[in-house]
Order: sequence, then structure tokens, then C-alpha cells
Amino acid sequence: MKTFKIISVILVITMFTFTLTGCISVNELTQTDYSMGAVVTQTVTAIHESNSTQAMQKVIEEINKLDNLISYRSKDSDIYKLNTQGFCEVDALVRRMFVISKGLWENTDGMFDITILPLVRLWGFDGDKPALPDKADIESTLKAVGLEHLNDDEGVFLLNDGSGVDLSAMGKGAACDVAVGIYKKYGIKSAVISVGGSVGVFGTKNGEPFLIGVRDPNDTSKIIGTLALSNKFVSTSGSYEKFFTDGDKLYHHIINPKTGYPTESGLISVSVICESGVASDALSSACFALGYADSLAVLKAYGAEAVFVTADGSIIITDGLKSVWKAE
Amino acid sequence: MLKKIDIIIILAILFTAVLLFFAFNSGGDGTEAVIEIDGKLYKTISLSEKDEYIIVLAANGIHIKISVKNNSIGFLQSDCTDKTCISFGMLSKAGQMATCLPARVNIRITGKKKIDAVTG
Repeated sequence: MKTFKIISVILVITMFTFTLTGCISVNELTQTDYSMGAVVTQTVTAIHESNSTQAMQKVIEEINKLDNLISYRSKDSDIYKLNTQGFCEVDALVRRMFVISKGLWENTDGMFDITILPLVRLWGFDGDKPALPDKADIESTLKAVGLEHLNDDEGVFLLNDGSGVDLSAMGKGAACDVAVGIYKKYGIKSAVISVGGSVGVFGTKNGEPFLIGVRDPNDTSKIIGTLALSNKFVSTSGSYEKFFTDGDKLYHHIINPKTGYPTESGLISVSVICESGVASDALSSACFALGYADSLAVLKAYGAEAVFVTADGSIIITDGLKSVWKAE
Repeated sequence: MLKKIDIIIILAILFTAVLLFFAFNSGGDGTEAVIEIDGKLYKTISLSEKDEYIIVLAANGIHIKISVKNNSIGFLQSDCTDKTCISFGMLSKAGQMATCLPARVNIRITGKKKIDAVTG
């Protein structure tokens, strides 16, 4: 009888442990906000819910601040000042983005260029109604494009007349960096943040990696596969995001700074995975412009991996992703 | 020594444990959706096979129709300019999300997630 009692007690305890651990996973909270012209979704896990809510609130405040610093549209931003006055003593965060973009401009032979704004405006990709510009206008606008127009004079950045800086190819990734910095400070256990198409993954899901889906560029209601990631960032650039058609030709929003026309690299989407959000975002645009073959050396230089989707629908992943990529 | 009755009781407890385990852990997989406006919860929708209806709402000056049917939910119609929201199609899996950015209306499927976020 005694053995029976002991066994019963053990069983009951196991039973409750089982049921309870099954339904109480540590407090996971999700918050949705809007910033940088995109949806910001945070899913945060912490021992105390108050840590999560405080961290998520802080994150959205800081992302709004970042947007007000780097958006060429917002009148108080460093970039607006630089573009309209021709000079600005920029914030340290903006300076860091300039430094990264210069490195990438050099590494891509000028295919990644933040002085693309005059061309973006000419094509109307900054607004609702993009359209095919005149050839002559494209040629004259090209003269204002090139990082040689942006110069650092002991902390004050100078921009030539007619040129314009647009940091939107790296802003959402930078926002993910800001978020992860805050999660660390607030003692968060794990978190996933997405700002538009840029995703930051902090920590693990109870020791397992998080699963990040890669959107199917041909059918945005689907995904082409998943990446199992922890403590990484991933961003995607694709021609499906913003485009228009004229006649039977499709014109997308990623403009080649050399030709002034949308890039034709044979890709329809690139997702770049690396240790920094801002780099993953900028690299995804750069690789989209460069095409598969020319991207490999650049990715290697930044310790980054990528998923390419070519115009004929093939999916190519870099070697480092073999163990984390799962096709749908 | 264990008697027959002891074994029966042990089996009964085990059976209850298994039953409770499944009772607490099922039903979370893509059976519920939330609609958020400006990031605030607007409505929780339970998704079942037999329900089929349309939700009409207006947010930030944009009229939207959301379709609920066949265990899934999605944007059916929107006054917005880009119509990206409709291209997300019908959602049914936990973790899936669709957004009408101009209206700031967001649909998320809650429950036990297979995918934690989507890039692109």
C-alpha cells in the first residue's frame, strides 16, 4: 500500500507539471505600432510582463525618434536639413549610417548609393503615382547622384546643390538594431521585431531558434521557406514591393544609380541575414542591384548570408544557410 | 505489492493527465484572429469552418471589408490606393499577418505559432 501511495503522489505531481508547463509559456506579449511608413510588430518574452510592456513602449518611441532623424520627408530631420540647406551637423546615429553606406558604396562600385533621392523623386517613387520619366531628364538627374557629392567637414556634412540623401534603404534595419539594444537593456528574455520587411531576432525561443518566413515574391500571401534564426537580423528587398507598369514593361522602385533606370540584375527578391540590422537592410538593396554573382564577394566581406529568388523563380541560398533554411 | 485496483487507479490518473495535457494545449493553433486599428485591439474573431461573414469598418478615413470564412480571414476590399492588404490573401496559420498600411488596420492570427515573423 505504501508503494502505491508514493507512486500515486509522484504521478499526480508529474501530471500537474506536465499540464502546467504546457499551457503557461513565459509571458509572451505582442504589440503593433506604425512608424517609418511601415507596421512595427514586437513579440517579447520576459519573466515580468511589465518589463515587456516598458521595453516595447521604449522601442516604439526610439524608432519614432530615429525616423524623425533620418526621414527625408520630416522637416526636422537631419537629412531634410542636409538636403535643403546643403549642410548639417548630424547625429551620431546618422553619421554611423553614412559611414556604413560609404563602405558599401565602395564595396559595390557605387551600386549602393544613398544619394539616389533625385532619381527616386524623378520617377515618383516617393509618392503614390510613379511614372516613366523622359530620358533627357534621367540623364541630367544622374549628374547629381554619387557619394562624391556628400562630404564630411569635421563632423558637418556638406551636400552639393541638387543632390539629395535618402536613407530609406537602411532605416528599417537600423530600427531593428535600436530595438534589440533596448531589449538587452530591459532584461528581456527573447524578442522578435519586424519593421516592414526587416526583422530582428533577439535570443531564442526556449533554446530553439525562431522561425522567420521569407515572403514569396510571386505571391505575397505565401512564403517560400523559413530561416531558423537566433540573435540575427534579416531584411528583404524585392521588385514586388513598389512598381508600376507602362505598356507591357514593369518598372520597380530600386533604381540603378549608374543608369538611372530600375535595376535589371535577374533577381526579384533578396533576403540578407547578418549580425547587424542596418547592414542586412543596406546589403539586401545592394545585392538586389548587383545580382547573384556579384553579390557573393560583398556578402562574404560583411559575414552575411542570403536567399536569392531569380526572375525564373529559382531559389538560391548561400552556403552558410544550409542548416537553417527550410524550403516550404 | 501493487494490486489490480492500484494499477487501474494509476492508469486512470495517467489517462486524465494525458487528456488534460491535450485539453490545455490544443485549440491554440490558428483558431483565433485579432483585428487591430492603430495598433489597438478592435476585435477578436474566432475562426471556424461554419462561420462565413464580412466585417465592414472604417479607419483613418478608409473603408475596409474583411472576409471571414473557412477557418480563415483576410482583406476583401479597401479604399486605399495600393491594395497591398488584399494581396496578402486569406490567412489561417498562427503567426500570419496582413496589414492595410494607409488605414492602419492589421489582422493577426494568434495561437501557437509555427512562424515567428516574415521578412519581405
